[in-house]
Amino acid sequence: METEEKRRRLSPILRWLLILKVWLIERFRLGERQVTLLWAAVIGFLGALAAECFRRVTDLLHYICTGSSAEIITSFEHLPLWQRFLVPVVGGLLAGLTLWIGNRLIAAVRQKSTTDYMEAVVVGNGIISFRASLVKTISALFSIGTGASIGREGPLVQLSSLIASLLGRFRNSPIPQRRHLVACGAAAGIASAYNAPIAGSFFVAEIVLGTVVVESLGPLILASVVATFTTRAMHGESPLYQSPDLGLHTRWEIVPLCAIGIFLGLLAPLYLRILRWTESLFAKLTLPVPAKLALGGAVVGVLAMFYPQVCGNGQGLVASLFHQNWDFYTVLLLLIVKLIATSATFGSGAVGGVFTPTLFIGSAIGVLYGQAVLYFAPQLRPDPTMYGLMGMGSFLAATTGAPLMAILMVFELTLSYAIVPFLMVACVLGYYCSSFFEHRFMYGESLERKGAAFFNSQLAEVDLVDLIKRDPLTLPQNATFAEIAQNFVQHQFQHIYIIDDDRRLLGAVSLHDVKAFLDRPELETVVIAADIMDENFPRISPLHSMADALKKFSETRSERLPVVDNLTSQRLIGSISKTDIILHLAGEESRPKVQRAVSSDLEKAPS
Amino acid sequence: MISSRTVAHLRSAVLVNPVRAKTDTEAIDELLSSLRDHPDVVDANALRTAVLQRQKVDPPILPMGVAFPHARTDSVRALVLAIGICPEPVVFGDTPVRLILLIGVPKAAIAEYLDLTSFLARHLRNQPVLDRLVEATSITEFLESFAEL
Repeated sequence: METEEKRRRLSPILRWLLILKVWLIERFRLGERQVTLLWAAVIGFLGALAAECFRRVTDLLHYICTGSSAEIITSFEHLPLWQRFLVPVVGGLLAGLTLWIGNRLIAAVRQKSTTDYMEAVVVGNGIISFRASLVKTISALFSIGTGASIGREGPLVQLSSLIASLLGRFRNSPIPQRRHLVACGAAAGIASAYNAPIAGSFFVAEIVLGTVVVESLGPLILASVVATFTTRAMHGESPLYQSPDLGLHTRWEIVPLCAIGIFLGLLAPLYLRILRWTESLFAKLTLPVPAKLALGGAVVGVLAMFYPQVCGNGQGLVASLFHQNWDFYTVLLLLIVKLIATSATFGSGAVGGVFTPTLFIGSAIGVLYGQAVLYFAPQLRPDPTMYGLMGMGSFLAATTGAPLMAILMVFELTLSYAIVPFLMVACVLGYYCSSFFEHRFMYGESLERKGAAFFNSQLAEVDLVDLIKRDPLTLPQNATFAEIAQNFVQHQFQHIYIIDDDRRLLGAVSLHDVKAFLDRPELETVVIAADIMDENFPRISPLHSMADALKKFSETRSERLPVVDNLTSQRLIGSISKTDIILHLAGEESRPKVQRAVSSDLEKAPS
Repeated sequence: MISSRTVAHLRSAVLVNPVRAKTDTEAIDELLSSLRDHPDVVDANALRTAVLQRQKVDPPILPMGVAFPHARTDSVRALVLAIGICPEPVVFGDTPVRLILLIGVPKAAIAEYLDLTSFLARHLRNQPVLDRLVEATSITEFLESFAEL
């Protein structure tokens, strides 16, 4: 009997660990929301590392293809004409072959996940396919490393979102949390690509989540900031585009500065239609994928023979635009060739982003506008660079439908506060003008189209059941005080659910109730779970609505409640967290837009 | 150190001395019958059912011969305690028991219950204390035995 009693007792070390844990909980109160923040920070760090790896491999491939480690435009300027043509063609071919072979291999395995982080967050289940992402990333490496006119922010975001998705799966998180972690990954990717933590988090909040609520924004901000600091530790702290001191020379300049928003807001729908038109043009070609991408590469190659500035994402081109005093016709020519190169690359199906090319196109139009103002109203003494930045912001707002993100992005890219008030007006005007003619913005359009397939496969319907975390912490009613204490040490939960042999929920033991008695070893063998459990602990059934579930949470201080199959048999099937419900409801704010668009697409689709 | 709350519980306890029962269930019934007219017992039958049900799950017994039959039940308004001294040990499971402490606790009074149980379990492991307690003829003597600690 003595031996049995000894066996049932808690070791002094475990007892002190538990007391320490309670002390920490009392003082720091690490709830599920705080834990999510910690994971967001981990995602930010890993996302930035993944982005750095991608950058380095791209640079290596670029060096192999061009024999130069300089910036992509400089490398192409030093290549002979035949090589300027051949490198993008071969790159396109290899990128296409990767997609073609990869997709064939993956098609053999039935996929229940997506490859697109936006789908994963908005309409999916937060699971991004590892294999398909790998294929897309390798394909993007070939395209970007060989000078395709496409942004590398796409693969960077993809990679960090993939890492976040894998972490969500590793943690066995419910759908809203997985989605939210993927969103954190996307924010980290944007932040590390542009050295822009605020814009990174708002890009995801505004475009991907479609909502700016504290519950979801906090982790996004943390992921972005950690990613930015990690990237800065490797690349330094200077903004992506150093701008000269800017400001108004006369008060009347406010008029053309604000009008640029209207002008670019009217041009943005045209740009979006050009992208869509080239995409559908390539889709009509009865060519295999490698040939299509090689053709896209050939368009870039031909243009690069005469204008090597078309190569790459356009980041270097924007810097040159602001620092070299190109005349009106040079800027116009570069704008046209870059637009053709980007449309051809994007339309051919190359993997990558159009965000950075869009920044150049907006900036170039802005500079042209500024030069026109200078020509027609020289008394205003306008600085075309300032108009270039206004153009960048307002065009971004008008094409993405995210004015807040555009304002923050341009501010962070330049760190020039003087332009912000005008930028705000230009971005808002750009967005309103564009949305008057165009309802499908850059990311929403692709999301709606891809989302249709997801809704069709009924993966995206989320109800209470999808939020349940299976296998919660349970003990039988005869579990000793020592066992209860030991479980509180080993797990982060505040409650242990007590079940009978048929898994019927009998009640819950709360850490709060027992914490004052943890230093009393004499209780360890005489008190059992049945003596101290709360039989009336609130519980939820999958038949409850989200609103009912939230109401249940209002009756308790607990952050997590048990879920029983139904309120008669009371069999425990899992637990549900308040944070997940709030995240889900916050996400629902934005989901109806997509859902409506997708539903109408489905209605139009032939049966 | 005895908390004032524990002293109050012990002071208001009912002492059954000697316990004449021969089996554990009879002993529990004998102690329960002493509580039948207790002002805080709302439903004596429900209290009995709850205590016996708890005994079935895992009877709380200290190896030196102390049993703690108890139940958390709404059939009592406040914590009630009956103390039984067995001149002839009564076997609970495999353990010959000399002292029985039957406790009824309202469902909400978890802290009170843990406080009292902790006090009793800590001190009743002490053989000289236990020897003095089973010699007590009244609640006052019973309390004095603890006071000497």
